[in-house]
Amino acid sequence: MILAARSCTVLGEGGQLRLDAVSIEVGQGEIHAVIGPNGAGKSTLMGILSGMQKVDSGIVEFNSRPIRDLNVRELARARSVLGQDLAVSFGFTVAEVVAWGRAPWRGTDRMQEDDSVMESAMRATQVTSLRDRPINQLSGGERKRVHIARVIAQDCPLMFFDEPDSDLDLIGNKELDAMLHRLHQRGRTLVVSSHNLSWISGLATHVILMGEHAIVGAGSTKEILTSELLSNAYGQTISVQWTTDASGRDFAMCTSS
Amino acid sequence: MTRAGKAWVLGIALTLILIVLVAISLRFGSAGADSVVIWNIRLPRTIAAILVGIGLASAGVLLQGSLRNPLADPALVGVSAGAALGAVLGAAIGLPFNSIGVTTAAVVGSSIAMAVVVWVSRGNGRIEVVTVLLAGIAVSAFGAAVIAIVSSMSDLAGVRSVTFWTTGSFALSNWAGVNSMWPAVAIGVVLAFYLAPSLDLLALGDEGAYASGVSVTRVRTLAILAAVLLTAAGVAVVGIIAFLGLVVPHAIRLVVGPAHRQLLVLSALGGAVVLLLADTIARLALSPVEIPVGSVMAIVGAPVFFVLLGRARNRQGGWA
Repeated sequence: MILAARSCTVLGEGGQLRLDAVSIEVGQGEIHAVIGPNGAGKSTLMGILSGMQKVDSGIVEFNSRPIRDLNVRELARARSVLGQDLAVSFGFTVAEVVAWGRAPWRGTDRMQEDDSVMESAMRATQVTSLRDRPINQLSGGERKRVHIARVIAQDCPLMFFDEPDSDLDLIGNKELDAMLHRLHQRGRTLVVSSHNLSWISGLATHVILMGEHAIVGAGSTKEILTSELLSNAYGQTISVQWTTDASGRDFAMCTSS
Repeated sequence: MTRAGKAWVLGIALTLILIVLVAISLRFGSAGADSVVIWNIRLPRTIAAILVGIGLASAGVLLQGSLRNPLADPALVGVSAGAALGAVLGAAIGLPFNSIGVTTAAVVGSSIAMAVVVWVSRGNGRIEVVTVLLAGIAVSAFGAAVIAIVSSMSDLAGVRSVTFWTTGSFALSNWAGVNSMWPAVAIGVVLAFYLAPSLDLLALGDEGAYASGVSVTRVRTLAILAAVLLTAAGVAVVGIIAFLGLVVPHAIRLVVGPAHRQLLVLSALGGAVVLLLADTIARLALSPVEIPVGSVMAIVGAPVFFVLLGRARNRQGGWA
């Protein structure tokens, strides 16, 4: 078990409930997808699991150690986070932004790997040729790839992706899928939130389904992506049709009717 | 040429220009060139211009980086006004000008001013770009008003008028002035250099920087503290000089990019060059009459600020 949340409750400003005593376990090498309607608490759950947000009660553990005991640097060596706000102030170049991923390792033995890790992260995301360009001059899809290169360069066993597909076109989404798949094959544990249920169905090993500030279903992808559970969570009828694509991967067509 | 290559060329060029300017500044003036004048008047004044230039330009870099705001400048965000007010109040209670005591009072005043500006501008866990500038206007107006009142109530005005504080001048920079400012400038520069790599990551925003291992509150607080030291030390001796902290880092960024280590070193050099040049012009242009050095800076700086304002506004889609 690399990550666990035990009856975690989060209250917002003014004391309204944001998360209600949620518990979840994430095993080494799994891909967990966090799904659910808007306002169900996906972002808050991602926040507490990644140590970005504090819990008001309960505990989050990384490798059986309470996450609140890790300092900001130790946390950054344990997990990397691709957030939704990817704006960069000033004209930093692609290579400079990717190098920030190595910041948590400054002063450690792993600094020696800086160059090789950065180069392979840029190759994996196909941004090597953009390395000297200011990131603010790139297209949205290119910028996202640069930030993915940055979180790959951070070289953490656990990686969070908060709606990584939100502004990608069809090709961009396919590339993202391939990148996350490769990280999974290399033994990384991924937690991915998304609204795209069909994409998630082909990627995730496990699904955490959120509804009304609580987890309403957690388990293997096939257990959770069912018409019954999804319809309940989203409050409208959703049909789920499992098929196999050309490469032999199972995925589900999820459509609301 | 790579950015690192450009940085070296620019660094060497600025150093050479600085040496030439120091020679000109020491040699020429309304009183000829005997050794007493050079040693007791022109040398401390030249060193003061260099120290204040280093301080204001570095403070600009620190404020821009820590607030993620390319428009931040010590004078525009109210740090300078707080320092001037602190210095005047320190003098009003009997501390001598150009002493560590008045410098300390200036540091306290500008810390309070900055704390007010940051506190007012906080919203949704961010520090808002425009609110910082608006709060800076209010703090500056308040500071100028209290300075005017205190000056008119005491006999301080004879030595340092309200105009001295608002436009800045090196006319009263002697060896005591240099000695009262260099320790704070030295501490500020060292602190800035130490913080530089973390300031780079703040460009990701507070959440992104935190996720990458930066303790955001600590870095921002220390950066603002360093900016306060660097600004207040100079303001206590020479008054408020606006726009230097805005123009110099911006120009350097255009050449070598925004990475903070290089930006800091080259901005410090550039600040020294520009301010020494401005003071030399202020002294010699209409000799023996002296123009306030702050006016020389503002004539160059205000148009640059308009350009920057326009750009920032375009990027954010207007601030209506």
